[in-house]
Amino acid sequence: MFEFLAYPFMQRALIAGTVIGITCALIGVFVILQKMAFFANAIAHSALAGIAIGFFMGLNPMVTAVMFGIIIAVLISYLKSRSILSVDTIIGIFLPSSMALGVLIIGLLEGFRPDLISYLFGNILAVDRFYLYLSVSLGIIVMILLAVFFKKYMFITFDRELASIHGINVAAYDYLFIILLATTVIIGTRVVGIILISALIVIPAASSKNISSNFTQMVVYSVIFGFASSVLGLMSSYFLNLASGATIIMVSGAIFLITLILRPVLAK
Amino acid sequence: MDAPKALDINDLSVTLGGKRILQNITFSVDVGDFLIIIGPNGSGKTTLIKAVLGLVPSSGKISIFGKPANRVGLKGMVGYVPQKFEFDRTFPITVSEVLDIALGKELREPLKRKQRIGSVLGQVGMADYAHKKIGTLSGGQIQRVLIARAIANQPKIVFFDEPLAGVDIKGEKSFYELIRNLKEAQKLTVALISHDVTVVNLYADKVAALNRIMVAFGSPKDVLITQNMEKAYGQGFGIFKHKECLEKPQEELTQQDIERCKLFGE
Ligand SMILES: Nc1ncnc2c1ncn2[C@@H]1O[C@H](COP(=O)(O)OP(=O)(O)O)[C@@H](O)[C@H]1O
Ligand SMILES: [Mg+2]
Repeated sequence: MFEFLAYPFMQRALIAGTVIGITCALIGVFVILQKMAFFANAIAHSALAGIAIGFFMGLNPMVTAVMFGIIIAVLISYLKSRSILSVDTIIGIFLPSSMALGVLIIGLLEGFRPDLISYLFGNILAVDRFYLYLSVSLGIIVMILLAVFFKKYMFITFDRELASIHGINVAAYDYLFIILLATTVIIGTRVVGIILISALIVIPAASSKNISSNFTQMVVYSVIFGFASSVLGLMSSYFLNLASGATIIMVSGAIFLITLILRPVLAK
Repeated sequence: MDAPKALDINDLSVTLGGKRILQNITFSVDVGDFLIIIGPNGSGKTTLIKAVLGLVPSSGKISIFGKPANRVGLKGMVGYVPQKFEFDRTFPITVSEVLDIALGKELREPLKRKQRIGSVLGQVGMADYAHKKIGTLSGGQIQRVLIARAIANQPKIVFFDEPLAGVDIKGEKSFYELIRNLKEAQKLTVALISHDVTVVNLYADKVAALNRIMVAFGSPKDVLITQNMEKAYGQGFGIFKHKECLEKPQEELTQQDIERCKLFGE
């Protein structure tokens, strides 16, 4: 039953899928505790414009999308700190605007047009070598930085006031975090698509929160759930011949349901 | 030159949202002093502490142990218990993890860190709660944990903003004893906001009476006089007509006296 591992496309999908699944699950812990799920979703939607810009300028669309996503994320954060508008209002402006920009630029493209559906819903079985290297290296960089600054982010997430009193430059770490988040979200759109990527960030962490009685557990379970969703999701996609983005999210949704049921027993 | 003051505030003013909250505050506190800040609600006590800790912008000069009090300068020297600690009660983090993230890097070995955490939790009577999720504790228990966290780094100065809200009488008493011990053993400097005149008389070396401006500053006997209190709290402020609050020896105070000596109920 493991003959599928012999196909190079499947190997690439599994490697990229698991790296991204784990990275999303790790950063997702901080995303849900800082209530940034909607923010992550807005960054995901900016990917369309970022990809379109890449096609328009003849550059690698994944690279331009990561850069555009980071710009949008920084802009939203900057406006949040400078404006009287609440963050959900600011995101409510940026999300559809960047999406509209993407549709406009795609309309301007002559000749070859990107396959919209595959960007909206992902198509990891079709990823090339370049994407594999890009996603694995960026994913590993994100994980290393999160691991190095783990306690600082835990401190900032729990008590930002005291973190700042203890000499942590909270604003700088916030900006680093959203850059890491934007990078993760955008490379992840290739796996499950623009529409579904925020689920890959939110669901493993939320499932883990259901059953964790301390912070270490929350991180460990989340990573395990992210890993399991990617692997089981890709396998079901292969064997059942279904869209891989959808199967990955369905598996993580099933894990969420199980943790919800187990919650009264496990969470003390 | 003299040894640096523990806390030296020079011409501090704070404006928030276009409103002048504090004006021209100047005072200093010696190393090992117990400072109590008093003043009615809205007089700017919390704002004063936040300005010192760099949490709100201010003008003027603030130094802590001779160093300018910016974030980096304070590293590891300062403990703080806020008036209102707001956090997500569903946050999956244990009491021991809450203390660990705030514990400085000097204490490297995991075992030593664990011991320190256990010891400060013991000092506030929370040793049995190290592995409980903080969100499951009562308000008073959370306050105790925050007090433990504030002293865990063995800071040189601690700021307590009405730290005993929700803490029972027994906890209150052991809090002041704990602070007194730390003061003696480690020359800890303490700045505390309180409404309790008994506490001021019993423990304060210095009192700052605030009402947007510095109404009075000095030893408790000098500050707690009727004119100052009327300036701070307004005309008809009758509490200091109860002279026993100030003049009776502590051991002769009855429970009734103590009740009347409270500036206002918690
Ligand atoms: N961020 C802020 N913006 C505007 N006004 C504020 C802000 N924070 C506090 N204030 C005002 O400053 C005054 C002093 O508040 P505070 O320092 O909390 O008083 P206290 O601790 O003595 O009760 C209050 O009138 C309060 O409304
Ligand atoms: Mg206050």
